[in-house]
Amino acid sequence: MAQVQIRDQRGNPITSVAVRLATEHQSSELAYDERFTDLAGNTAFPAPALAPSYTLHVNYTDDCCRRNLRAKYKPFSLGVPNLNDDIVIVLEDLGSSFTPEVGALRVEK
Amino acid sequence: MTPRFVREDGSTFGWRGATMFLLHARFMRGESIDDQIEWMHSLGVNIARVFMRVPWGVTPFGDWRFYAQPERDANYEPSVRAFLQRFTDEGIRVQPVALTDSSQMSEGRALTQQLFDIARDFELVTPQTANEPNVNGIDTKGVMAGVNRHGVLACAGDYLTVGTAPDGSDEVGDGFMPSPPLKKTPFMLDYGDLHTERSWHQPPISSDRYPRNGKEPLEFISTFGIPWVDGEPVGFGEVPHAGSGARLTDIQQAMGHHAIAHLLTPGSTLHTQAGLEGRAPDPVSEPIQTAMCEDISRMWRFIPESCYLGQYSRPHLSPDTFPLEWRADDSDSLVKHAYASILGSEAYACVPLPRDGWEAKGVNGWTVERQLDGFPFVVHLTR
Repeated sequence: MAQVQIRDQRGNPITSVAVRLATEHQSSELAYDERFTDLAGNTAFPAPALAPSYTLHVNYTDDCCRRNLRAKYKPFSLGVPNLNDDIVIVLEDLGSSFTPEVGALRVEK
Repeated sequence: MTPRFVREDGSTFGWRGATMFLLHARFMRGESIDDQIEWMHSLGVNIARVFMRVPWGVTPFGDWRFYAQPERDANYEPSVRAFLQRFTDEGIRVQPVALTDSSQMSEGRALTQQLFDIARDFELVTPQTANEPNVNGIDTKGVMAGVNRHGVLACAGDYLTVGTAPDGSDEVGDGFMPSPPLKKTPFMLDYGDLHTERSWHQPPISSDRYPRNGKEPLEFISTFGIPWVDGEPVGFGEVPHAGSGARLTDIQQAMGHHAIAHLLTPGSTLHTQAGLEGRAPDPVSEPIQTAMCEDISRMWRFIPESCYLGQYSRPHLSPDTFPLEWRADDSDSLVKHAYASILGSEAYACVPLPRDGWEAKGVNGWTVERQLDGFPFVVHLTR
């Protein structure tokens, strides 16, 4: 059993993010299991005897509960040689270039 | 001096727009617009383009008959005011479009006057008189005659130009600048909103123009001396199709178009099928629109807002300053063009649809500093 913890760059749990499990070097689309993190930002996969090692794909798909995770965090893939280890994955916050607009615009020619 | 948009604090405004045509219609009939606001915030959209009426009737995405003449509803003006106040509170500008279909001149003038009377109370509002007036049969000059704009920054919406073709016939510039001398210039107010040409678009690429014609507003800026934005380029959809309402699914082409618009002009508007319907794209059922908008948003973070104030550079026009290595036969790009904007010791460049095996190599003293993740043909250089 692999416990997977998904955190942001400040160490806070990211809830409802999709975590997919694929065999080694397989893409997210070819994953055979998908789970979503709980309120503590955790999920778990039983260690199947399919392959010697695996790849975890995080945030490549969307949960119906949170629509903007993919805009907020950069998707991340990680090779996992041993699914019995606990895994902590930190997603890069893509941030937002949004700065509230204030005041009228004018044109300078 | 390059014409520019300026905020009250003196900073240069870069246009990072999103089509939200039916957003006020949804708001007026009581729908929440929280998701759309959140989506725009997440992408860094700083201006939403919203239609104030539409003649669309019953569509696959809803019944909009009430929005053909919404001003007849006593709730219309309070709704518009509440809508614009919401955007003021959220820090997003609005480009409300008064007219979207031909109507009586007096009616159009009254509607436009009403919009300006409201807009003067909201600093983030920059109205547009009409959407594609050449297509919709709207005489914007006639409509605006006698309208008091109260000093509100605005654009007419006209962009149709007519020049002289080499054979002496008329060359009608519907979304592009024809050959000079011009026989017809568009009616203009403070800034222009160009809808770059799309009639040629047939997926996959049948023309070399879309991936690079984000530059077209620069031709209008140079000719008319006011800022022009790329206000409604080919829309993003889940299925590509051509003709009226053309939709595109190719992010490589789209990135070239939008990156060049942000290098050389005040910017562009994300035009999507979802936005036309006044919605944020649904990540599950509309993954292509979602992903394309997120990629463009990353480009917005890569290219500074003031980039369009830089020195215009392209390979053959300015071989001594163009910052990237470029083959003399133009084969580095499948569309045979590349552009850069040089701001002192920094440059931003785009090689739309680069050839297989292309690599960014700095020349003329320039060093590649960064390349946009997933789109290495969008390049930041320093010297």
